[in-house]
Amino acid sequence: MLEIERLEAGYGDVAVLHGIDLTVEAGAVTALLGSNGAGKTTLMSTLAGLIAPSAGRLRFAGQPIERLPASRRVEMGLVLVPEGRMLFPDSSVEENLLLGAYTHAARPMARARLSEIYALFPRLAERRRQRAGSLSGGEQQMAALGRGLMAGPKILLLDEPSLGLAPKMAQLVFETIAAIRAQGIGILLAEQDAHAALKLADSALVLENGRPVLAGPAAQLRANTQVRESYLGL
Amino acid sequence: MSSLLSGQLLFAALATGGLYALVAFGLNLIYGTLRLLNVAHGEIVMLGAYAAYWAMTMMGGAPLFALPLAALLLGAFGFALYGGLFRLALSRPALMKRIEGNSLLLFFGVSIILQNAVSLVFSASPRANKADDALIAFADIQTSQSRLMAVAITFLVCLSLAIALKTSWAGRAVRAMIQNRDAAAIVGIPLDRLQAWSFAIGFAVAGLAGALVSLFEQISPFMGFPYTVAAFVVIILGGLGNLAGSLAAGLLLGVVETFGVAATSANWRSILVWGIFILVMLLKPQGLFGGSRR
Repeated sequence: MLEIERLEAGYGDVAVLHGIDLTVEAGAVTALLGSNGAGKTTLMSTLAGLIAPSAGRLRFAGQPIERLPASRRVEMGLVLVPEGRMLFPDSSVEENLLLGAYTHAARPMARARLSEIYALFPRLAERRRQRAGSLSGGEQQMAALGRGLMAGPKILLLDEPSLGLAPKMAQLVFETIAAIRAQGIGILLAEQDAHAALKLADSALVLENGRPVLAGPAAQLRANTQVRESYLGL
Repeated sequence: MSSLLSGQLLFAALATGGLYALVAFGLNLIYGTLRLLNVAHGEIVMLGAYAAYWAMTMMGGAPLFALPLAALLLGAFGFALYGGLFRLALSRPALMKRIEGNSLLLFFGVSIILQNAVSLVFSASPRANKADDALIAFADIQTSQSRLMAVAITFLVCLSLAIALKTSWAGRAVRAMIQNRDAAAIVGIPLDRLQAWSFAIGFAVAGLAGALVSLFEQISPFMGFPYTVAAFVVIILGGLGNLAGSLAAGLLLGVVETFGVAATSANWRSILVWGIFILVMLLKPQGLFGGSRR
């Protein structure tokens, strides 16, 4: 579904990603592992169209997308739930969710999807009129996930969805990811919590200093000595 | 003191305030969505006034033809200026980094060019639309037909803008983009198109304001600067990027200025306006209405 080939990207003159190859399939979770500064967020931002790649190819549903602006990628069904949530803090929770359905394709579905998301996260329904900036971290993550789902994604890019959350809340986020996969949506999941990510994922890619160092089925990576030592702390 | 309670004064205050709100809206829209400070905004008002003067006095058109025409022409000019000058500057990261500072210089240049271009075409001497206005009186208020129409149109447009901002998808997109550009991009809002439309709508509203002014005041190629200043005061009062706040602050400034001058003298006008400005900057630097939305 989403094919990444020899992708390079960075900020200005600073190159961060060096030759990333990866495929994200519909209905599967692909984990993106790596320590802080390994390039996970840069990769996510490049896929979403916030950063222009300096080399390499990106294809989504067979079409080249590396030159498309972020808004066109959302229309096609490639949707980012960014690190730090990036909600609209002064707007209400409901307004944030509705903005998720901004594209012409998603607008007619907005009301129906809104009630689905309120069913999935009853907390958001309770707080629909509150400013998004006043929510707790966990609630903000639900709102960000909900906003991403409002677009009707085919592939969802989840950047550090459990970061800074209490264990119980993180558990809920991972359960939600499994439920999203069950709907046939493909997920690229950047995570620092390699344990939880590898338990959930179908396959994984490990980044170090912007370079892919390991890739394969999640079960295989869980058994890998290097992964066990560096990322699972075993 | 009884003169301060007159309907006449209230009418004058609302007329001035409505106009300030209208002019400041465009400035704040362009600042909010693009982070560009348009110091040529008053010149857009001036161009609108000349467009109406041309349509009415030179071509003999009716005001209800001249007003939309001025808005349309200036809206098109906004599109052209964005496409011709700013799209390029904004698409290059190296230029984008310095855009807030550079935009001041760019717009300053635009301002001087427009003043001189209009002087060249229409001469520098002040002009006025032919007024064969009927006088209107109700209660203790006396005014002319065109002034009443101008106030009615001002409030109608301000109200429509406020409603559109609150309820339409375009309004939602604008408010989202003002809060966070990247977040707006990842929910699928086409930033480039919205920026072009911000220029077009901002200029169209300023052009309309200028056309309204031309109905009852003298116009000149150098009339724009006081409007630029007033608009800047208004958007600081209302909160940079807070569009609803600047509509309210425009009205407030009009009321304070009109009643303040009536209670003291015309010499106090600038002291009052800037006094309030400085007071707000000291006590509530984020603006009166909840502040800057970033």
